[in-house]
Amino acid sequence: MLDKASIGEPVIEMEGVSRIYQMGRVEVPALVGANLIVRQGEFVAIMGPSGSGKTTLMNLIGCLDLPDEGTYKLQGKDVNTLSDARISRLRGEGIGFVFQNYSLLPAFTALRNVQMPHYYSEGRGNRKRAMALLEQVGLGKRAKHKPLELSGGEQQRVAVARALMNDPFLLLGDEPTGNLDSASSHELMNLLEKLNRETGLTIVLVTHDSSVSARAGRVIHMRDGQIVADEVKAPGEVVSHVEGQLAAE
Amino acid sequence: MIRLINLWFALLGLGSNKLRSALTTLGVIIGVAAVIIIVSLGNGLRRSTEIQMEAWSAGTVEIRPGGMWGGPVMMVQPEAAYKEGIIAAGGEVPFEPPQPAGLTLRDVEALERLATATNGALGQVEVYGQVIYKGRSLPMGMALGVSNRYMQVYRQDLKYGRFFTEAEQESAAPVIVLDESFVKEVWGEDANPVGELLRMAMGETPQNYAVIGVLKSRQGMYGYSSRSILVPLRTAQLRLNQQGRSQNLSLIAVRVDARKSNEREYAVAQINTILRASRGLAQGTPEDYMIYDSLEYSDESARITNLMTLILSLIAGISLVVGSIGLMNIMLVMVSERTWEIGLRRAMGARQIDVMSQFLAEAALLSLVGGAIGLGIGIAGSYAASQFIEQIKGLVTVTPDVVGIAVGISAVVGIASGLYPAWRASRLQPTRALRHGT
Repeated sequence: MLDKASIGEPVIEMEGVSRIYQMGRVEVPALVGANLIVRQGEFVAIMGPSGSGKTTLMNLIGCLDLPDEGTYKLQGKDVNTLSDARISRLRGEGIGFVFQNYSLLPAFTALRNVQMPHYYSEGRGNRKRAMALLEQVGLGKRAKHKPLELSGGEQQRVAVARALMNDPFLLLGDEPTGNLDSASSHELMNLLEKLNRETGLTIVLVTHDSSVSARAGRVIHMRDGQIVADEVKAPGEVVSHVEGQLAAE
Repeated sequence: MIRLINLWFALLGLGSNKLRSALTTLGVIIGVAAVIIIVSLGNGLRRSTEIQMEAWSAGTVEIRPGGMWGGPVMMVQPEAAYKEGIIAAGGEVPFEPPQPAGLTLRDVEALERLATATNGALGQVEVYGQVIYKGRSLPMGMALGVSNRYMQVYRQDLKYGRFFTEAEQESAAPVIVLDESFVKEVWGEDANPVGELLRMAMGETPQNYAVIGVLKSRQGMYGYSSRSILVPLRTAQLRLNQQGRSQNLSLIAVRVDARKSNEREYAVAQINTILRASRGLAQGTPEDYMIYDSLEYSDESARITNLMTLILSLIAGISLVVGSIGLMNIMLVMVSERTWEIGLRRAMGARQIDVMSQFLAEAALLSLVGGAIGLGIGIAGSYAASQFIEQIKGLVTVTPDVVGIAVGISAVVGIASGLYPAWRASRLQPTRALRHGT
């Protein structure tokens, strides 16, 4: 259990990171000279208009992509120096992903989907833990259902359970509430907030939903591939904002 | 390290699109079945040709006197035949071919004594005439006078009775050995005519001959079957002599067991040298005989059959190539359709090699299942075809090497057509793959 205000070790350390896409003959700088440090236990929202580079930043953080310039250290390891196998391992065991489109495998039951990351970390699926995680997200009774038999909110909670399967140190969300109605969205945010508060899980979300970013302890604003603002709130500020919004609903 | 779990993912991946998997497999099934059926039928055809050739040629080298018509021929005596009531008065007299200087028993003896590359030599004369059984004229009008090497040189077996003894040869006894197919025609299937008498108008006067043995029939090339009447060489020569005809041999047959062409060429050269010496041919003079190696025809025919099998196999192979291109095509479609899945798996910690082995396993499974089904259909089809095609009945065998080739090919097809799509899948940038899905 970590106190929310306590400052942990750096999880993400970026220094002068750039990512330039090659579109035919044209170079498109998606991210330019980003400097960012996220410490353990932080709850960060990345905001910005479409094309501002927030998804690129997100992919770099999740080691789904590698920087063209600058250094990125994840838990102190420079990802540019790691082999594919090492990066895959770091990603599989250390990072949990939640995507906008839920991204569950349709052929598998909810339980199997949750077990999946464990198979890739050379495990045998750890059924017990997967079941416990499904119960934790309130879907214990839906374990044997396939994704298409679940609602969007339920699917996204399965995705969260899956992201937690290998007990990651970092949870990344790419518009996790983008396809959800406001009630489901609210429920999901409660779940993430609880995880952050109770287990000290570091969470980074990309969103353009202000009701989501309002619940984060830190909001990073992006525009034209650059970080233009980095706003850290005091603990009370976050809570009051949320309560204010709840009252409005 | 490759994880076995990817095989399971591959199975589930295929299971989630059963129709497409089945259709993709179909191409491989047809290809493999076609290859097996054609190779097996080709083998059956070759076996059948070999058997016919073996029967026909039996690996002998034959020497005939030079000139168009071969050896001395004794015609039916019209007077004798008339007396017996065999031909009507004024009946046509068969024409008489010219008589070149013939081969003699001296040549046979020389070959027997001197040749090392051969395995027995036989002298033969032909006597034409009328054969009567119980007053009825039989369609066969020729008897062969043969020496006792006959059985050895032509690799013949007896069905009933015995062959001529030395004593019967020496005394020119009136005895005959018949061929099974001849017996079948006159007495019926499986009849044993040993002890029966045949009357033959081949000498001065018609004479009774006792049947002492029956030879097992050898189905000859393209329906040819020998319906020979065999008599001792001396007996035939006596009949020829009675007519004042040449007793020279119409044929010398030499057994050459060697199968390799250089060994046979050596044997033929040896035979030629011995014959030239025994016939006193001066250097530079042409031979007055001709040597035929019957196996040369058999080689030629085997070559044609092999070529035919090869061409058909190539055509079958093309269908296998088409099947494998179909497989590769589907695998490429699957990779691009499932980019989001690839990205997701990468996000969950799958390494490039995991993605690659999953897709490779999918292709290999499709191809192996196709190969197995194709193998079953191929074996069943080969045997079914062999039941319906008379010439190769019972000769079609699906040999282990054919099965090995088919399974090997399907494995190679699976890996070859899966490799590139799987590699493409593994190289997909996870980000791009994920964006593809949204």
